[in-house]
Amino acid sequence: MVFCIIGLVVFGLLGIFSAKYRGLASESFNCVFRMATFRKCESTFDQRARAHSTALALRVSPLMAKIVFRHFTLLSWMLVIFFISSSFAIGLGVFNYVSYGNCNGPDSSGFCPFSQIPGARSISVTEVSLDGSPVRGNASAPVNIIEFACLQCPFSREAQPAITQVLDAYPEHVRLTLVFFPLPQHNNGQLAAQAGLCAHEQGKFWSLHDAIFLRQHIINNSVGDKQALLNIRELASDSGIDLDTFDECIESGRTREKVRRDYESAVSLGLKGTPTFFINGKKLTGPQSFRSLKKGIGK
Amino acid sequence: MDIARIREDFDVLKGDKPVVYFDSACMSLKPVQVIDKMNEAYKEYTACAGRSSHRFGSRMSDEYENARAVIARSLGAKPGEVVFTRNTTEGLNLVSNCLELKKGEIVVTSDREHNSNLVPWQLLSDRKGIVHKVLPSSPDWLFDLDAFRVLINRGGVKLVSVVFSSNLDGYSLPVREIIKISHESGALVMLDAAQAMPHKKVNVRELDADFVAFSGHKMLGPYGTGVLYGKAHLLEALSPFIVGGETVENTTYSGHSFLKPPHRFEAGLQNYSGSIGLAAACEYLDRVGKENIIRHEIRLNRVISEGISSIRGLRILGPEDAVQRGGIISFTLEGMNHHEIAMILDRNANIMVRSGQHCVHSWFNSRGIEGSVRASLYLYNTESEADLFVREIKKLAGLR
Repeated sequence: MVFCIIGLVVFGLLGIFSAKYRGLASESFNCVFRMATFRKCESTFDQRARAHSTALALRVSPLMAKIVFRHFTLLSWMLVIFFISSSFAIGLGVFNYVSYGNCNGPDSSGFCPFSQIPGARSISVTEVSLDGSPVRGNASAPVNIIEFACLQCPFSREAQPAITQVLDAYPEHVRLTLVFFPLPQHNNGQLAAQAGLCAHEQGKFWSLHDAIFLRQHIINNSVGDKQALLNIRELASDSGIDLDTFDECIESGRTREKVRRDYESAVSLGLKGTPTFFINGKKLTGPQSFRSLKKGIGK
Repeated sequence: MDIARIREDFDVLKGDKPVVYFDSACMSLKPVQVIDKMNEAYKEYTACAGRSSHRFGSRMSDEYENARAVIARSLGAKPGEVVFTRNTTEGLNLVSNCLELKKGEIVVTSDREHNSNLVPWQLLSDRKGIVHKVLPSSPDWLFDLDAFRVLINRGGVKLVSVVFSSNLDGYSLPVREIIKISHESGALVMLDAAQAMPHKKVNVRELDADFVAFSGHKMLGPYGTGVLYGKAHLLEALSPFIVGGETVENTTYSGHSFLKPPHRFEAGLQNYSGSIGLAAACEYLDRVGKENIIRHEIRLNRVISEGISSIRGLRILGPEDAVQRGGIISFTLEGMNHHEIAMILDRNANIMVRSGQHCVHSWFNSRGIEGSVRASLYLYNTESEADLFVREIKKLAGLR
């Protein structure tokens, strides 16, 4: 029954463009019509779908096949609900993008995959200058993970546990290089990046990095540059950074150029959000699981 | 019987992961010998048999009549008693339409008849007022000879039309006894041998059957081919119901004279290459030996029946002993739809079986059974395929 409803929508639409789906659309319609008139549906859509899904699941594992076979109706309804809610979310995103230029709504600073950052030109990740970028792990490791991150980005924070786990598990095999990509919608991302490089001058970047991701809300909730800087100083102090040198670095603005270069590299690569990883050149977008990173480094 | 050698003749069974084809009761695979023989007719001498006097026409006439002779020999009949048809259904319909049946005369069938041996009699019952009687099976699924004898002895039975081997469960009716009892009371007997001819040696003369109908496509032959055997004097007495080209010797504006059987019943241009292919299939089967084929099928049936009979909720339709079911294992599995089982077997294990009511709707409907899964075996199936089938059914049963 469930598949007849889905089939009516899907094959009805496909049938507009291709005659081969019209028979299936007609079958779905008959089934839905019979159900609506309190008669038994004569279609074998559900049977075919259940058999097909069970056969596919059986190739993976008998347990999965058992779950699919026994709870097929429940799973089907869940799919219908996901389908409807996804369609609604996509529609809302498109509406927001058309109306406000941001798929998350007028006041959101969230990541929007439709948004192109101006100035994009095509370069390869090997052309990105890593001079002065913070590196963690064995410098001569065969695998280099380049992470484009924004210190104010919640997704960049979310990615950290898996990254740390990989570095701990394979210390000789992998290293991490961080490139700053302070996203425009994160109002304190630029300042945090500069502060990070100032900490890097003292060899304390990763301490500040970890402190920021641990208490990222402090920066996110800061109103204005002044309060943001005060909060970052507090985190820097907790990280054992010499504040006089740190202040002098911030005031001189000498790390601004490196942050700008990093940002431009990210834009030129066509990146749209953080974190974005390049594992020996292979791109992975968004926070990754330990399993995915492990696979990426060939372990 | 060298199965590996036989499998070489079937292209579809070659390769790394060939299909496990367990649907031969519906449609058998075709050996290369049959396909080549048919192609030869199309490629080398395509023409009208019995009409054109050029070399192609003569060759086609010779090959076509030779095919009739080969099939007649295989049946123990005379060539003139072999009528080419499109399939068993046409053969049965030919008799039901051509035999003189009067109001009140009785036609007896069993309760496990294919629709092709059921609907014609229902129609005649409506149109001519004949009486169609269905003889129920005994509780142990067998043909009830005692009840049959009682029915026949009451008189009035003109024709007994029964399935030789059932496509429902593989059970073969005691046709020898049925024919004897029927003839003792003057009734004619027609056998639906669609499922018997591919597997058993059928000698119409020894059986003393009056009519026998079968199809080519279930016995390694091409689709759209079949044969109706009829005793010469009975065919002579029948008037054809499809007439026109080929059926007549001569016509005037006011009359016609029919050809002698079997040509009287073969209206219009015939499926020559099909009949020639069917004869090649007959020769192939006779060469392998049908007694070897049925022995092989029963051995595989035992492997499967013993393997799956212990599955909870699984019920094999038909007699318990695999010997009585030939090459057919028809079963239901509680908690799983028969169509789903067939589809999963196909998609997941490359095993092809039939599911549904197998054109024996009346039997299933009278028992309130939705349908069954039917695995039907043939000479090209192997023991390892039977083992795989058992494993897959057990796996599926575990999903419930």
